[in-house]
Amino acid sequence: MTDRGLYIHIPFCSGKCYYCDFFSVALDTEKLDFFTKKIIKEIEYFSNQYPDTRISSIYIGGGTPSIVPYLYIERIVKRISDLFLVNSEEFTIEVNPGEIEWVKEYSNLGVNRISLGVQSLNNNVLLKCGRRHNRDSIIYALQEISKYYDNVSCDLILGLPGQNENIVMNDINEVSNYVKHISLYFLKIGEGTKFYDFLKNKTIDFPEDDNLVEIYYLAKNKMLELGYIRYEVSNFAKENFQSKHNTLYWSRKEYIGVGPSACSLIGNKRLQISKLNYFNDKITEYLTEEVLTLEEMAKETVILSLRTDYGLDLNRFEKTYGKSIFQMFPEAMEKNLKFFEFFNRNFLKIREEYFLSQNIIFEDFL
Amino acid sequence: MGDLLMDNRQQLIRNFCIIAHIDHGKSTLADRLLQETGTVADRNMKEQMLDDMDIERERGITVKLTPARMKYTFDGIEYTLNLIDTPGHVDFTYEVSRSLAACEGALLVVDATQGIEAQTLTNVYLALDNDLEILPVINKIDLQSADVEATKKEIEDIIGLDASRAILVSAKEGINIDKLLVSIVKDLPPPSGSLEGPLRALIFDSIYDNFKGVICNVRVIDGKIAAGTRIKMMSNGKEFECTEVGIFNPTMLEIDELKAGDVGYIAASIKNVEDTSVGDTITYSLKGATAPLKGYKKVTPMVFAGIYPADGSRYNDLREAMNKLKLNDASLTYEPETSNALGFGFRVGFLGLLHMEIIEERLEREFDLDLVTTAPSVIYRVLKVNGDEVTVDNPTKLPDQSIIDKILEPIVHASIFSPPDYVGPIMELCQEKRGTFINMTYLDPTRVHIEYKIPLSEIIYDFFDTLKSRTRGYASLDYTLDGYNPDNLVKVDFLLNGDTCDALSLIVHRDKAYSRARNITERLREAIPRQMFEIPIQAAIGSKIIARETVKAVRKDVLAKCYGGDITRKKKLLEKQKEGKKRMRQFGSVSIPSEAFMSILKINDD
Repeated sequence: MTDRGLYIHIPFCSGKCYYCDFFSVALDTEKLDFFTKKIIKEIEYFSNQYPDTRISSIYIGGGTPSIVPYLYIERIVKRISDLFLVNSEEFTIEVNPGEIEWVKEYSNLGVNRISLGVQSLNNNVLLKCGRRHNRDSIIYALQEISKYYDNVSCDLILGLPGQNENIVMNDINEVSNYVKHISLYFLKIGEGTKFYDFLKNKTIDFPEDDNLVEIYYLAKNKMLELGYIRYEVSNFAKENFQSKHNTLYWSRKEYIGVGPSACSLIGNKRLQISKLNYFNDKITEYLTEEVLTLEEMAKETVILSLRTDYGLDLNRFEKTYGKSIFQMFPEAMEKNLKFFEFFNRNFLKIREEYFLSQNIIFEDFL
Repeated sequence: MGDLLMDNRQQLIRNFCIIAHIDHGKSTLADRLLQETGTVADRNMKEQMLDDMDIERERGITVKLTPARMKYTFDGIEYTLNLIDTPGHVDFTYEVSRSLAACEGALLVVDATQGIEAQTLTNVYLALDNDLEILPVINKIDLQSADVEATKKEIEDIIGLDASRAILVSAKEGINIDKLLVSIVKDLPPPSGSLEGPLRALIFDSIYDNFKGVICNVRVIDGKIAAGTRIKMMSNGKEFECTEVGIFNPTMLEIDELKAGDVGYIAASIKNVEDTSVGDTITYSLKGATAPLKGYKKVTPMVFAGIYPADGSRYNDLREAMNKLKLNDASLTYEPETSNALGFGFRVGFLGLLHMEIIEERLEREFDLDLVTTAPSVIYRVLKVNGDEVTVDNPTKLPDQSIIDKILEPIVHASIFSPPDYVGPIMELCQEKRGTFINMTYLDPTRVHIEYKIPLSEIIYDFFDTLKSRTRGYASLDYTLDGYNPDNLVKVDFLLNGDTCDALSLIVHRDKAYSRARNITERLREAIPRQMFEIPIQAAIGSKIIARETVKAVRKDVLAKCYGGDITRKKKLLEKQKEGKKRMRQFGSVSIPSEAFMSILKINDD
């Protein structure tokens, strides 16, 4: 058997936040029926294609999975356990404040981890980024979720209009009363989002990058004080609460993804389900396949593992690719050596002062 | 009997060119002559017929000389008129002098609304040097502001030509073009030269054709040539068999034979560009002429700059392009050079800044190259303490200050024509540019002629643009090289992350070094993207730092989220970023975008 993670993308949302460039659609019953059938077909497809799969973790993300009536989620999860051998140590579902109707019931399905989209606890900041809930509903959600789950995570965004150092520090302090895991993401302003227009038309001011880096490090130190450790650029967790599912991605372990735009990594293949015409197509001809060469896989290993605080395992690299990283990328290694440090003799890491400029290093490896 | 026939044939040929200051209507007049003689049917007529380069039409200037043959019947006799269109800008004086050598006469076109301008004079002197018969033509007489009498007076007073026989025309409206044609036949002399003698044909231009090889544009002085004739280049003894001869009608048209007095082209399957050179004489392989024609004075480039491919891997393409361009532009000189910042490229000599711009543009357009050009420099003469003298065409090569006794720089005699209102601003500008006043003459109430000696380096910097802007475009400028003068010149180096970037070095007067250095370091700071580490940008004279800026380090370039579906996207994003950086030059650990080298080219001292 091969352990694989399973990701299910639920594209429904009650509205579009100003920063969101994910694929999402408004909830309607007809679509929901269609979607559930389709996603089940996709699950069946993967179980047929890869019957050796043992599901090691499940992550239901979105969109906002928590606005989908429990019945549908149940139907999907049931189908998974019918078709696959499931041995999931971690089963996460994403939840939005104000949309937590079935939080308790999820545990019946085996869900043991909740990820709550907080973004900020400041009402002014929330308003400016188009969130449809306020501070009170967030605190309420945190309290409710904590009644049923020990393993709770929340997302915070760094770089929202109206945010400053104090607001971010307060947010961290406050959520730390409830959660074992914090994802602190830098705001990314993607094309097609409301923020993109705001930025272009200079409708609102966004914090400067240099300032955000300062806040990031203050936040990082704050979280360290509070007993969280950073294990990836944007992810902080109490000991043993690192996300197992997400760690799959960075260590290039195998995973199956279903739902519009979801990705799978199986052997040397990356498969992606197209989001185009997702709700029109009846058949499963929407899977694109990319066969990766050894070199491409090695490149991915570099740019993924160097995001983490574990770093890149040099022995494992050499075993996997038959060459050391120095042999495989001599120029990039030489040029960037000064930005690296060796950790425990066998792990390559980006020095902290260059950690947030890592893309510039990665370019040399591509 | 034979002799008489020959003479009669030559009697019916007129070879002439048109000379004028830029914008005085030269190309339009050429168009009109082509139309009036029926050489080009009206329906095929496009404006500036002879300016067939895109650059020429777009900029409204003539860069290359272009020949055309016209037939014209006067008093029942058919004449062949060979017109050679010439450039008007000061930078292209060399092209003008080449066309003059192929002619017996010149039409001097003067704009009746502007009068004599700087380049009018230069061209007249060139024509007189070549013993050409000059026929004054006063153009734009249809305009309200035309002042024919004043223009005639200027022609007589300033140039000393008899203006009473000047033809008054409007090239734009086609007025008096017929009279002009009559005058060309009656007043300009026919070609001399002997049909009997051994062939002597002067190459006045050449181009490369992928099928026919090098095509030489020639003026046949003596003898005749047809396809099949064995020919020899007199300068190097290389022999070829002529494969085709023809005329310009105005596009190339093959004919049987070119004879003494004719202007046309010769093709001889010449594959090697270096085998022909403009100014050379073509003769027969056997029983050829003993003495070549007087060629052209070798032209000396005044302005030098490094030209590099923006993408370093295209050096060979650039070299090939330079070779081909050289064939078509005899004034172009170049030699390979290497730079620690830009890699392999060429040190190229130009006649002036416009020439430099034209060459860059032609390389980019005709050869599809992306270029990086370094700041233009003049040639300095450096006297060393030990008495040796070296010439320096690249600031990087300036010897160490400690062994320099003196640096001499080229000086020009600048001649400026302007309405009197602008005398103040012009003199102020000349002073700022380290000029020495020579003379000022009021030609008439509306025109003044100002002469200054000015260092060439100041002229090529931004003199012309500033002159035009301070005189609202009314002043015209021409200059000739007028020796070398010592001055307090220093080399300013620019250091990026502590290392001198040779492609940025420049030689400048000590008084201007500080402001120039500040200006350039600021520009560099804006042009160089933030990188992983802080990059100090320093300007230095010797080891003394005179200006400093800093490019701050990048603090944040990271993808916030990177989960299953993001990985492909992330790779694409990074690949795109990397692609954007391909045009950057790696200088030590610093990446410099090509644009950074260019951004410092055009700056002001303010």
